[in-house]
Amino acid sequence: MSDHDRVSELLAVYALDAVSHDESLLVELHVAHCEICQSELDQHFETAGALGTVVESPPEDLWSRIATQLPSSEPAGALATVTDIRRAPRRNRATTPEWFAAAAAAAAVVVLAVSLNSANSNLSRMRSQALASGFAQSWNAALAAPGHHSVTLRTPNGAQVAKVVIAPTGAAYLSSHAMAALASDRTYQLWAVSTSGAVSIGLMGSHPTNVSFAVGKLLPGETIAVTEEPESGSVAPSSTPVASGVIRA
Amino acid sequence: MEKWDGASDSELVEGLTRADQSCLAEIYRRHGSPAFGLAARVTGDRSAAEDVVQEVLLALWRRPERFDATRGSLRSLLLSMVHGRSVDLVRSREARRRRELRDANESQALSVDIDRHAWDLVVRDQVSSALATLSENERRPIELAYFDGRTYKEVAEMLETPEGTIKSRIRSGLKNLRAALSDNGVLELDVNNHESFEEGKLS
Repeated sequence: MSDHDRVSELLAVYALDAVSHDESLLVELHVAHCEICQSELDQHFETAGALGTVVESPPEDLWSRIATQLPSSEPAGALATVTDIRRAPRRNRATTPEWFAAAAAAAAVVVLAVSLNSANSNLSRMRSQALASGFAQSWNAALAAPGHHSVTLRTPNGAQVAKVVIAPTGAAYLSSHAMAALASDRTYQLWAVSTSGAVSIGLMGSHPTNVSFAVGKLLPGETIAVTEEPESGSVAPSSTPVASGVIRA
Repeated sequence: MEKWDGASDSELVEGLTRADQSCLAEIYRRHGSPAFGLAARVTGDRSAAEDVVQEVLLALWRRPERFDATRGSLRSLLLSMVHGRSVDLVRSREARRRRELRDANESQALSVDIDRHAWDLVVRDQVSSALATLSENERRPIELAYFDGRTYKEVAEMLETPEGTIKSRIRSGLKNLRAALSDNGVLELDVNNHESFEEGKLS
């Protein structure tokens, strides 16, 4: 049975949040690049949404509590691809800063990125699954897969801080034990870069070690970069990268 | 929130990108009650449900780009986020213990429990009717998975049915439910007629 067939059987139960962590990962990685499955999944979510219209009046002070949590500053409203797979919009490229233009390779990059987002339960599960025993196996499997790409991320001074392995399926894994912990209101953000701009791959948290994510097509010569950003992430890189690397075949 | 009475959900989400808090307030007014109702239903804990709704609304505030109108309604997105977070809570050990304690104290059957929570005033009858068109073999696994937060493997064990069969029944059940809801206009109503769903009240 192919991955597509297996995932097809899981779409409905995934939409009801009735799958295991491993199965969630399988679905999320597959639908990131399968429009047929994504379309069916959207329909299941819509149906489940109707099923979920159970109405119960919340406490009268709930909105007041929510309102007090809203920051006075602007939210990261137009984030491009630090998204929820459930309703991930189509690719949207941010403006290219000068350093990115300089760093980018000539080839166009097409990336459908799905990040690990602590606010999202399924992606949190995906991250947990990867961080647990499965990460090492996933890493080794990707590394052993014919046609995989690997990237070494280095600081501007040339110090190696992380390695990334991208499997032919689009599953990608980052491992680092040299990225300094940030303040709790800051996060590392991962970007795919080409001459046409920077696409956010996802937020990695304030102290990442092992991170898994999914990408679409990536070509050797394109750049992966990491910047330090506010906790909620940024639309476009707001600072020069703390580390970057070019994808090697 | 008269300012936004005629606005579409997409316009409200657009407002979030401009840090317009009144847009989030209007979203809460339109969808807060169903979101809270679902969270309360799945977690069995009103306090936890409050936290879930707060977390989901703030997540939308921070990342409004999650909503893509071409792929579904805002209601659907919010409820899927609420459901996912609620299920996470239910599956935690502590939440499971509270839930089992509640179940032990309440000898109500699932169907009674569902009735205790009123369906949305407009779609309740249609959704109930649509559910009733499903066979017991399709309806029961969907209810156990969606409202009780069970995995399909747990459902299979509870119903003493092969896992593959449960997956197939849930898939066919959702497709049949979608067809029934499309026939009676509920899904169209869900997307286009927000006024009918306005149960939430701002204090």
